[in-house]
Amino acid sequence: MSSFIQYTLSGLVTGSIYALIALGFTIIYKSTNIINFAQGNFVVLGGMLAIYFREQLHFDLPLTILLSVTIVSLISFLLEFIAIRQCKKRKAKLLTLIIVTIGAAILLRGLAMALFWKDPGKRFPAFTSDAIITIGGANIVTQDVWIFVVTLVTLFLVVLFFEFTITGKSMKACASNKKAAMLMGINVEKMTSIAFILSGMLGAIAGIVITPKLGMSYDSGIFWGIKGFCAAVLGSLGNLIGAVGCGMMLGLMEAYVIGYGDIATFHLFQVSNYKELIVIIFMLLILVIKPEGLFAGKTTSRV
Amino acid sequence: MLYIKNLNAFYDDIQALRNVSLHVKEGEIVALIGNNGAGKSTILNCISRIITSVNGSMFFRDQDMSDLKYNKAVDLGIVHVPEGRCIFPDLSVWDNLLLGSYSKREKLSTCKKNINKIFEMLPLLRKKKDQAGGTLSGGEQQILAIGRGLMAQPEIMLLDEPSMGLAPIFINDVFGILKQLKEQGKTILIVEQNAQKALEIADRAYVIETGSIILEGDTDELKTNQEIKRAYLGKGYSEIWD
Repeated sequence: MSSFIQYTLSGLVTGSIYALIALGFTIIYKSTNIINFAQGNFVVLGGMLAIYFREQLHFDLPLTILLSVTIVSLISFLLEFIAIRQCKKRKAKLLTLIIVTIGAAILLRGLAMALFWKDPGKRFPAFTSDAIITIGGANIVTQDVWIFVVTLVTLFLVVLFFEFTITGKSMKACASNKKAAMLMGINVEKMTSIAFILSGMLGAIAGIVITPKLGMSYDSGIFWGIKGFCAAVLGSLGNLIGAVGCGMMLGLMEAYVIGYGDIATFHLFQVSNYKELIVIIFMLLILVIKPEGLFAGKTTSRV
Repeated sequence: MLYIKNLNAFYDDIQALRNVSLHVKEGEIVALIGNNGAGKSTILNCISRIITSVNGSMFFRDQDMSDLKYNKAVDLGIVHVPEGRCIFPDLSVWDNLLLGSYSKREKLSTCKKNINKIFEMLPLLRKKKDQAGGTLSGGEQQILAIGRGLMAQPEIMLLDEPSMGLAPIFINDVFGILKQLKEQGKTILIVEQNAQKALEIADRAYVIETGSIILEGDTDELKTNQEIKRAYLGKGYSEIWD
């Protein structure tokens, strides 16, 4: 039993990170229909900047978080403002815009390596202490609690933003019907900028909270990006709750595969080594059965 | 109030409007009638600055509109209720109305008051206020679209095909609302394929064919014009000549 609780808790912690990243994908997709493949690199940059500020410049934690989040959101804003907006002005197709984000991902990866370091294992100390907390026989470190709490608070704020502020509602309106939003006087370009800034923030936050636990390497953007992307797609792309739910689900699934996979296959295969593969196969299976994702609402368009 | 002179509009290299000149005076209802593809909606899209590849001069109350961005046009009070309703399908009726007042940047309490005013005028919407816009019927959506437009407190309202695809009972409802607006002294530029209905409500009308204005005048004059009768009011040759 205690091992089940252990897997569940560690699954929820990784799941939180996936949820944050998936939310970043979702927000940009909702307001622009673009899949931003640089989302994983925002996570990496957030983490690496935090290590840099904390370990090399010895800033205190709040300042480190503030600076890292600001810089990453700025990068995200610039990605849209410089690259994507210009391509749109020249009437680029959606696919072109998505490829631009892949280009941006490669560029950011290179920049992270050139400006910082290649050493994969770097990290900075946990937010508070390295103490171990025991819950029902399962052990977690305090940073896990931080990850979980920060994620929940962030998700809560994002939902509040979209449901209760006029800016959030206008962003939903832009996603819902762009022409009508324009005719209401909503500045669609401004809303797109806000979407990118918000996604940058979410990516950076994910990177900062996970780095003390796992470290951050310049090339792990793809890893985080794919996980977040899977969660966003399973959650029916564009559905905030779906993205979060499926992020958590992927995290849990991974933890159970690592925990029980070997036993379930009588140690014939080292299943736990293939957790990524298993998760992706699972995602493909779900998409074959239910191509619209797990959280597709009823399509409510009548004419 | 609105003056347009020699307006030319382009979709890539296709010219959609040729030297269109028209004006709308304060408190007037002006109809644009014409067949499918004549360029009626294009004119409205030019006025609300959705289409910007245009030349010619456009003035709204002495303000030159040629460099105006679409969101600034709404700030000036040019409110366009688009063809096909274009409501926000996944947002509630209430949120649809709330976003209508986006350009006013008012306090929420003022917005609520204005929404209640709309509900008094269009009681149907009150009953459905928590429903997603996409679940309404076509006619209800059209009424919502008009309500949403009114939330922006328009100086001039551009209505694009308000009766398109509606059941006859809703066509009457929609034109009933327009009559109400007329009595309130609102300025409206309306595009309609249903020329009969449009000429009933409008003070003046322009007739458009293949991107040019071919005829203009008071509606009373136009209603008796033989050519209009034949082409747009569905009276056959025999009926006219006999």
